[in-house]
Amino acid sequence: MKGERLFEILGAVDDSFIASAHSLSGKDNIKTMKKNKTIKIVLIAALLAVALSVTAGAAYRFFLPKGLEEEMSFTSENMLKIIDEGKADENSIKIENKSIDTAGFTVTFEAIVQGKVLKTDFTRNLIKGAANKQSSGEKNIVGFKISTQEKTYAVFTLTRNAGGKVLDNPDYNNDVNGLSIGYIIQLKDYIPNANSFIPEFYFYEDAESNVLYLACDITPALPFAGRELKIAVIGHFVGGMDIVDMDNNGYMCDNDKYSGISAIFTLPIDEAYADENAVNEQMKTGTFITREEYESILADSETESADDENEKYEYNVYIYYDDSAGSMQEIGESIMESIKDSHPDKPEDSED
Amino acid sequence: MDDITIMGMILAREETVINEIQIKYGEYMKAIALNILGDPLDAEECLNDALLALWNKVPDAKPESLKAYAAKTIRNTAINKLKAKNALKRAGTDADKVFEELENILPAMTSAEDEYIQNETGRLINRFLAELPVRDRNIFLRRYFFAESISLIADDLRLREGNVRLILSRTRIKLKKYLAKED
Repeated sequence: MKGERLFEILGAVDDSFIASAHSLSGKDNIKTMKKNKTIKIVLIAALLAVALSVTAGAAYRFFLPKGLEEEMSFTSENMLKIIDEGKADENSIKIENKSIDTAGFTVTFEAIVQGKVLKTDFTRNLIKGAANKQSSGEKNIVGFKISTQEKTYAVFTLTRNAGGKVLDNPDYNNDVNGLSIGYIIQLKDYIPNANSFIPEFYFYEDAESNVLYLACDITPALPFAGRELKIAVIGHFVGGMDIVDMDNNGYMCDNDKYSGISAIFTLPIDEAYADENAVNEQMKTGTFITREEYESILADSETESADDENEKYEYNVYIYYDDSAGSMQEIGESIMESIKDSHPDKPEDSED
Repeated sequence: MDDITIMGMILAREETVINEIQIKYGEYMKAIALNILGDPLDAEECLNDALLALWNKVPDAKPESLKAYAAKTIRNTAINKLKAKNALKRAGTDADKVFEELENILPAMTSAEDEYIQNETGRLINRFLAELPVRDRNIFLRRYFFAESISLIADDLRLREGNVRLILSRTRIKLKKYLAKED
């Protein structure tokens, strides 16, 4: 009876809350925007070095790609250069070249790299495409978020043990389109579909060596440094639910029932990156919960399979930046002018 | 027709305003009633009752938000209809689940202090809601004021159902702790 009583009491909720809660289906429904797919960026510029003083405690080495052209692209040569330099640097983090055999593949955790990744040419192309869509009457452009955030990537290589291409092998039957690669980062106390990151990742397969390079954006995980973090390279990205499991200690572990690629590594992030404020903000969302809260939810017996995936509406525009193209400020202004000219409903916010 | 004009017509006792309200808010109100009652015919009947209630009560209430007032009016009408049918737990709608989800949140009440505590709890809930992030508040109200299904909320907000459940569950736990602390 208390449930019905509280339901009645909720009738006294403030009018302003009611009016803004979004109505039900009907003529007065506030239409939400049509879902737009987040752009999957499959080309990535080689990472620029950010000069940092490297100390014995530093976890990362920053690499300056040498002799790269303005039209930068994600190539195996660039990644190999980065990986080799990282291994040679005595101050860089030691991944111990961990390799895991899984489902007929070898997955190797090669390096963690960091830097700002910018490409003005890619951005201009994107704006042009947006202008075309706008003129054709398509309404699915919601604006651009120009990001120059520093990114940190965990770099893996994948090879097929029997040789041959990694991707699009018709014999690998895990996905109707061939092999699908993804990754998830999870905190200790893996809660089903919570406490995990599934941000962007980029891959490139070298046609000659048949090595697939996978760069996973681990930037969102940095504030959680010092906690138990695992990163899993997985073969079929279905939210990770059925691919990995949780052991009795709360750590992500293999799921014996899954027969595809699943390579779980410890993600070593320097505790210097820990940021309790950022963690607390994340914990307020529905994406991350403590074990205590999770057990309360279980006791409440209301939660079924929670899913942490929030889909994005905005395009993340990664600007690839080269020194010779001008200062950051000049480039940024140029881009915003292009956006204003070609797209009347320009984004309200942009970040430097 | 904008709400100011509608309100003006109500105050001027122009009967054609009922039709205007139905055009603007009819589907909205009926959806609320349907969520609670589960039966389209009952919901339609409820709508008629609620429109009459608006006609009678708006002149004195003079609500600032006609939309919110209409929502509350139809909601109360639907609840009363359920009570009259003595079928609160047998509506076969999401309302049953909504009641169950809200079951263990309220602290104990005594019948002698019912009305006072009810009013006070309403005040506390408003304070609690004001402190919530907007998204969580909206999800909470869509479930526990509008009695919307989790799938509808999830679909509308482009969230997974599990995520909506998680947000609701956490908000209920917070509300329970909040009310217990203020008790």
